[in-house]
Amino acid sequence: MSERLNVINLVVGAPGHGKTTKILELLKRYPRKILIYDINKEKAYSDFPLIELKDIRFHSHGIARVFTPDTRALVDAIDKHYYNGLVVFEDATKYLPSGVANVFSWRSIFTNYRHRNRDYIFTFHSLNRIPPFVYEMSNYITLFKTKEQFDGSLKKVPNFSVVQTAYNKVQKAKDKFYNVTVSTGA
Amino acid sequence: MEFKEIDLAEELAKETASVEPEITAETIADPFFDPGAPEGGPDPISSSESSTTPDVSAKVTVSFLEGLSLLLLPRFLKNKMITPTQSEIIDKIEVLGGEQLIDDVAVEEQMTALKARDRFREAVRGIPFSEEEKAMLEDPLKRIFEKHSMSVSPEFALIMAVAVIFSGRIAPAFIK
Repeated sequence: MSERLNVINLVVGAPGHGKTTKILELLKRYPRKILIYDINKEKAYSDFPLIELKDIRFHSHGIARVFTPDTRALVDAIDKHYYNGLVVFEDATKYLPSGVANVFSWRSIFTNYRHRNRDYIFTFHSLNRIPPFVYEMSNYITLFKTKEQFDGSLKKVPNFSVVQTAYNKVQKAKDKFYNVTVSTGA
Repeated sequence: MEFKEIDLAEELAKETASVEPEITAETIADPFFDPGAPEGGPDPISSSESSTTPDVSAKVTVSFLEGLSLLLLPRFLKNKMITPTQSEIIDKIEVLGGEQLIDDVAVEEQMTALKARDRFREAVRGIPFSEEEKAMLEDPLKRIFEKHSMSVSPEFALIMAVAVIFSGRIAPAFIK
């Protein structure tokens, strides 16, 4: 199987439209270890073992969850100790600062990920809630139905026309769980 | 750019190039860092010093429940199975050695009181959990602890063990 570069994926959709189900499907085929920042303690992830922050460095295989209200400490732990795997940041709107590029620990997460062989998945409830810096750094966006108007105010999105086409296709689909993944061109 | 749908699962299933953890002054000072060791280390659950295993947590919890039963149930059973009058009669009989009946109470009444006492003693003997009953409680409890990633801390396990040990010893003081 050919090698690829590490990627940052945004999964966007209103609650109840299948984001977590989609992520679980992605996790099944991912070849390396996975860490889920389970901020909402989702029932769908409850079968995966819960580890403490200090044990992130020991997580070597399989899927593990971590929960902490101290996002800063989590990001530091991931940046220093997490190599060769995927990190899922569930419901990133709750803790991702709007000025994320100016927060050193987060900026480091976004700039060092390929040096550490990390992939990321960030989930959001709407396109409008995603900080511009995160858009700039992302590679793919998976769109589910959202409850917003996708208009000119969202032109911060890279490849705006492509994302808009995907957005329209998803919004028109009859299937509640319909989703499309497109490249944001980063 | 042309609209093209991506199969993200297919994309993420591809391998990436491994990297070695970076050795810095901080990692060298880190007591847990061993640059010669393969990535990974102690099982993340067992490396935690703040919790007992689900199996131990279940056993400790069941023992604690048994201790609570031994402490509370005898008094409850006595209140329900022996009336205050019967209790007085039993006390009078037992002061005299428990072998002979007393004079100032009808024989039938005394026999009824003694039968109630015997049924009470039988009930108290049945309070401690049998091994089968413990297993019936421990198995599902262990699965619950595992499912919800819960556990009993070593400190709390010690408190419960102390409570269990002493509850059996002080329980008689609660039965008047």
